Amino acid sequence: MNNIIRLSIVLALVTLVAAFVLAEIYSVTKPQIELQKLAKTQEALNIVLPDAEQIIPKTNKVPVKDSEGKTLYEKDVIAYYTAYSDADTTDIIGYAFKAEGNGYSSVIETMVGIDTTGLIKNIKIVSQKETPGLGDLSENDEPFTGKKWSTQQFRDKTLEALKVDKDGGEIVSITGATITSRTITNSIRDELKGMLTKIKEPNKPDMEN
Amino acid sequence: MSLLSEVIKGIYKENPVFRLALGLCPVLAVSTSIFNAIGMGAATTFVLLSSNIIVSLLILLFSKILSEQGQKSINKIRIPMFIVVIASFVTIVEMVMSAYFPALSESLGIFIPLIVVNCIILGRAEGFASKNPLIPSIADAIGMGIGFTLALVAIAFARELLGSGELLGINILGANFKPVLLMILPPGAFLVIGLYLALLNWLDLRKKA
Repeated sequence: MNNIIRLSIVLALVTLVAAFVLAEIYSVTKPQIELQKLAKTQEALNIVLPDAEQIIPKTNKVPVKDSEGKTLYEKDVIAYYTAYSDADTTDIIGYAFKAEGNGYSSVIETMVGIDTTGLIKNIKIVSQKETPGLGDLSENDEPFTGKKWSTQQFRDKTLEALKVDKDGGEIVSITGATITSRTITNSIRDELKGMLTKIKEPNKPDMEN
Repeated sequence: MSLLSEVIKGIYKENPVFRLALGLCPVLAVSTSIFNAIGMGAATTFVLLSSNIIVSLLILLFSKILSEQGQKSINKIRIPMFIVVIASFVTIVEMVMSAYFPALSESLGIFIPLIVVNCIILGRAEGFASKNPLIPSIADAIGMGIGFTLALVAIAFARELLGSGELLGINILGANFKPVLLMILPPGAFLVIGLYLALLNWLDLRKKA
């Protein structure tokens, strides 16, 4: 009996010290990690909407419910971003949104920028954990030559053209990673479809309010 | 045995990957590029060094404050204690890496938390650090860490060169080189490890003859 108590105390002490050290380091690194995430989103936004002077996120209130369906509180979730060409946010020049889909072995997140008519301006893969070495090819953003996958090939594509070549579309897929290419393309198409209804009349972007 | 030979044994004679065949899971997974291999090697070396130091000190502490019988009973909980120590250091690495090296943390992904179950680390804590004084334990960790990193880099060298025609992300084999896809995929890792093992065994046999 004595022995069990002694062992428990020793193990508890070891874990206590470990937990204390981890808590300290967590509080130091947490703000930095948040900062990195924000910087990454900002960088992606700048790539897909290069002409924007100001980019403002549009948030939706999403209720968080408990197990009985009662609303506990409402959470702000970013639906999309609106880009303005001036600092006073009067002249809308485009939108950006995130598309998400299940790839070969991970969830692929893509930031997509469109102009007010719904034409894609540029896309940027924000995160993917596909097969190492192969999945990285999906992030290729070299000028599009017509033969090899590049994120630049999405420029000016319409909804109908957003299919990989194997499915009869215009997107050149990654050699050896058709599933990855298809996921990116399809997730963008689905998300764009929803986006287009939100900005029904291209020349009256005030509709969203 | 001198300290230097303690370090050197980890690099060649008892190389954790090629001789002890320990920790093969991360070796297979992250040896697709030299950049990843160095990052993984450094992270593992840090955890190995820190856990060897703490384990060695813990054992020293117990031998000072506990009776012979107490030490014997503490022996029963040594594995959980080691795991707590190792897991703490791995969590530290994970937090620091995602705060200050986001690109590396992104490409290593799940394999950083999985260092906890890398058998090299528990193997050295249990097999060496818990039975030896502090200084030799440090030498052992440094040797094993370097050995692990070198093995990873050696495998990544072959895989990155043949699988994507690059070394450290710089194109070596020219634009006309057609990458051997197999080398980036898991079978390529098995193939390369097998060939290295065969080469080392052949060298040993030749030396004996």
